[in-house]
Amino acid sequence: MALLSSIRIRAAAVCSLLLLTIGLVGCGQTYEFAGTPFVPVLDAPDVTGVVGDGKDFTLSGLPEKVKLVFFGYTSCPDICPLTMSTLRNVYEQLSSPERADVAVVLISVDPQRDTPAQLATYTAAFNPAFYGVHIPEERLTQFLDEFNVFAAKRSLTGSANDTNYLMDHTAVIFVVDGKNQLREIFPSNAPADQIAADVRYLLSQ
Amino acid sequence: MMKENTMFLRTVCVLLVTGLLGAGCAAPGAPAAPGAAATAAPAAPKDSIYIADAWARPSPLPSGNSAVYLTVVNPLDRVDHLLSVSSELGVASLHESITENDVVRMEARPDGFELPPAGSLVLAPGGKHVMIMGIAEPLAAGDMVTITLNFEMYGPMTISVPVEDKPGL
Repeated sequence: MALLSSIRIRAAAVCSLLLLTIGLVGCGQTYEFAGTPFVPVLDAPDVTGVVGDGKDFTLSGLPEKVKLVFFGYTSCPDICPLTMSTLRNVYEQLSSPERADVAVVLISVDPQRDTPAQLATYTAAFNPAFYGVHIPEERLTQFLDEFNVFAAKRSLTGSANDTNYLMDHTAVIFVVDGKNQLREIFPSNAPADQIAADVRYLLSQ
Repeated sequence: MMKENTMFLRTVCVLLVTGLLGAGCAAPGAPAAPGAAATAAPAAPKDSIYIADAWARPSPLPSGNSAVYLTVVNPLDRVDHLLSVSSELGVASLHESITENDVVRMEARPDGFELPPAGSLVLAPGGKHVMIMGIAEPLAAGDMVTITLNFEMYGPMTISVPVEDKPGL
């Protein structure tokens, strides 16, 4: 009987050790992002532009801690509204205090047609708190390079003066943390709950 | 007896460990199935192609663009083709979004899309769609959009599509 007890105690001890080990190692001490992480993290290019009400915009000057940045344009019929809708879904999954610390930023890759006022109307259709940033073409090129974002006009008529062009463009969501560092990239069709989970993690840092 | 007890403890241990792995280390959010569940069309015709789940995107700005998404169901055993589309709202065309290396481009599909026999053609966000450009007035949820789909075999089909603001789509 004493032997049986001893075996039980030993087995229980092994079991506890196993649980402890899994608790410390299995779960991991480091958080794993659902998107593609920047390793090492990089400083986010400090985008400057204008938002709808004519105010100057700087990415680093935003009061919100975490920023979700997307490059698109308002006449984009498919991918941009799909991505903005996903970002709205992310935003709506967060609690009210969490939302106060998260900025959703659309930077226009089509400054020729998108005015700051149009961008404000467009982003407000998704959520009034979202930012629609206009950057003049000459400066936009530099920021696109810094973010490694591609953007080019695609004419529907083949004419150089076509004003009904579409834009080919990189459609990813950049996640910028409270230290204004690029932490990860999501494809435009990423599930909203994965993005929301990573945002929550960054808010907790 | 002793062996049985040890086995019991092992089993409990394994169960606990499995539970811990399953719950404590759960991944931060499993991928959600995008899109609403398909609703069965009531009394779907068996002798003709028909449209299911059609909706149009809001267009928040004047002179804006929108997209229409829908599924064409073909219960027949013959192939058909969606050749073109038109709308009085603006310039309508068949397009497809193609994503390569995170860059999205929209390609016109002047030859349209095939509708396979006993199959369906799905136009959905991020892929094949009807694009409507230059819509004079903004479109909001609740508005209706009329489009005419031109099929090679069926001929023209005019449908009225609701504008919907779908979460996550």
